[in-house]
Amino acid sequence: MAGYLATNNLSASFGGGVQAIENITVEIPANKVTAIIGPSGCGKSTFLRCLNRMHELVPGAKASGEVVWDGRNIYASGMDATEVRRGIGMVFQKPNPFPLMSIEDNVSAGLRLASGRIGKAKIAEVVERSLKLAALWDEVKNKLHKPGGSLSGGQQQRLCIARALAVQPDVILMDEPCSALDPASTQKIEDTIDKLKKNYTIVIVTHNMQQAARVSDFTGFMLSKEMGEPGRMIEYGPTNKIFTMPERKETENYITGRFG
Amino acid sequence: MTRQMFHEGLEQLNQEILHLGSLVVEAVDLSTQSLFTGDRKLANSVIAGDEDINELTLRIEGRCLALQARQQPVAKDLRLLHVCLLVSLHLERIGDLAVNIAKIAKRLERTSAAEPYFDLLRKMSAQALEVLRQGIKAFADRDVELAASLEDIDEPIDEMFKEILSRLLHPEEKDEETSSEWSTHIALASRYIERIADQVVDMGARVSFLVTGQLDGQYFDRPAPDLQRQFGQ
Repeated sequence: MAGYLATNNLSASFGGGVQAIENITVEIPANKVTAIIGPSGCGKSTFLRCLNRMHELVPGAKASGEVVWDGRNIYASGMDATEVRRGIGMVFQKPNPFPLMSIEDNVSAGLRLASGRIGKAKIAEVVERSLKLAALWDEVKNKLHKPGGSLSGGQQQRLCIARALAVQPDVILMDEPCSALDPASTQKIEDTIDKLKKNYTIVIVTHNMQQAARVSDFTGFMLSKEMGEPGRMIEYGPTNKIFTMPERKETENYITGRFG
Repeated sequence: MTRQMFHEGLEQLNQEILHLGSLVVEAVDLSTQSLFTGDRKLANSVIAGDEDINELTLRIEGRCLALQARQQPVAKDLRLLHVCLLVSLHLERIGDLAVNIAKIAKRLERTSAAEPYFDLLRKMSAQALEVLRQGIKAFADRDVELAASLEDIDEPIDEMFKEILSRLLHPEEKDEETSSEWSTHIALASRYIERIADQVVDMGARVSFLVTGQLDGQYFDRPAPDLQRQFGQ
């Protein structure tokens, strides 16, 4: 299935040999929301950025092991990193629309880069579809030519989701997508996530455990033994199970606030 | 409310359940004593004491609600809150059954025909009191094995209940002293004692869930495809 991801002994390091994550082997089911939780510095974001080869964009950063997407290892020689990032999109912590570019152009920016010349009608169609999927269409349909920077923080984040959706990925990775948003905007993003999983696989890194419990079908708990040690996947399973009866003591201590 | 206050709140809740348990054990003990002795004063004290049981149950429910609303408990904390709420309801119900027994104690005619039934009822109530004590101990000690054994301790109670009903329906000798009111009281008293033990058996299932997280294996989603491998590491 196109949205199915699996990692096999995935490890990653930064320049100077700093190991960030070690030997992570998980299967991420298609059309489900998988949340990654864990304390700061446990390698959650690094893990996420390895899933679409964004980690290697940091100078000196390396990844080893496998990430299998649609039956292919994205780290195999001959795999095109740009194609990987098109199929496995990313939404970041802080909404990062192009502030002066119009709402419409923000959504279609990736599409125009990836597909070269495409007709206006096609672009309009993709813009509408993507904004509808991101639950932003009704709020912006009469001001598509206004700059992206004119929107509220929550709207900007949904604009970034629409931009990621415009290139028709299989998987969307979200790195703390609500940490800069107020509760109402957070709820809208969570509603959007829930609707999107019908067509997409979603992996979300979040500091907010209640958010993980609300939105995800599966949850992974990451932890590094000590500061500076690489992060490992301590436990991974159905969200109901993780939040009701975790198998590992470390998971229980973390989610019940008895950590450290 | 800080996390430390939350954990203290959970411990207070645990203590309140144990306190409720001791009130209920006393109510069952005194109500069955009043049934056998006809001591109306004792029966009245059980009926009056039920107010304390109800009040404490409400206090426990309020605490459970407040802790859930403000702390979003998960894992063992979530299970403890869930189980405390249910166990408190089981115990409160047992308190009500003790009141029912005390009310029968006040009305029951004590005749020679009652003796064989009283022998059985005495055995039943001693056994029910034992199940109750062990059920509360299982909760206090988080003892899954003890919780599972409650069903075995309950079994003779069910048998004795069936025997009482069968005897009342098919008496060996027609006793002139046997009235329908009298036999209804005996039947009801034995039914209430049998229900007390059943409530405790259900309480035992909650204790098992508290410790294992399993509700007859039905609760959780299908495991993730790689769950086995993850946990096998």
